[in-house]
Amino acid sequence: MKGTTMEPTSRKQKAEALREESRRRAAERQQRRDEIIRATIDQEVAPRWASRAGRRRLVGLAAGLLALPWAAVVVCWYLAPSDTAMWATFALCLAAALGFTLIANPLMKVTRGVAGAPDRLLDERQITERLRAQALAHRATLALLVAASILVSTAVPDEGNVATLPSAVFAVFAIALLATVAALPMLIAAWRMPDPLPDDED
Amino acid sequence: MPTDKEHVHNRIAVLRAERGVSRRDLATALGVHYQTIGYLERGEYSPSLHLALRIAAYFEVPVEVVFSLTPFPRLGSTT
Repeated sequence: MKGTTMEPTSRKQKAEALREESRRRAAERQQRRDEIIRATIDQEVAPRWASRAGRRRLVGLAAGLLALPWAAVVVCWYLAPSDTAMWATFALCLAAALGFTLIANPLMKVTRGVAGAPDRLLDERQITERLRAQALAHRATLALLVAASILVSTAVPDEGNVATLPSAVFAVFAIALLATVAALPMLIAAWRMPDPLPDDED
Repeated sequence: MPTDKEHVHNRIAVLRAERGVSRRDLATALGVHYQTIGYLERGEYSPSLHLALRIAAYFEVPVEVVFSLTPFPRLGSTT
């Protein structure tokens, strides 16, 4: 009788202990990740990107990469369905993805985490700066969408109210739009970043 | 960047120099990025009330000693 009343309690305790252990491990993993990000944020910025002009060149490079999926939309529009369109689209999207993988780290460094780092690692000024960049990016995306819809409505061949477009255009358009929405706040934050102050300890 | 209307003057640089505290030390004590201290000193960022009170508490002075809506008189000036 005693055993049957004790067993559920002990099972509960074991489950609770397991949950506690899993929470502790997750917290440790997060702490290690945060330490890596903090170290990245505080790393010395490469001299070519340390000035405002340098940061804006980096933004220009990122904007160029961001233009690649949009170029793929145009390629699909005119050439799909064809092997040329398929390979060109793959090449353009792959180049953009690889380029962004390489550029994300320098972008995070030059903005000292405003672009890319989690909120919990930023202070109030940095969070304000990030929110401002997000608000501007939202407006820019809206303007881009309005421009795209005007362009599409004038460019789509309309024969008897039936528009004919390759379906690949819509898939690549969605990818390009997603990439733009994700990347624009980072680019705006890096563009607006004021020059850092010289260290007073030097 | 705050507009002229919203500009809050501060004496963080003076207090820091007087106490021999580096930007990094102050930033660590306040839990902010060291560049934020620089932007505060340059007047390019106005802190939240919470951060302003913590800065004043760090230097152990009333908040109006550190922050003011009007420019602080220069050292040695009679007005």
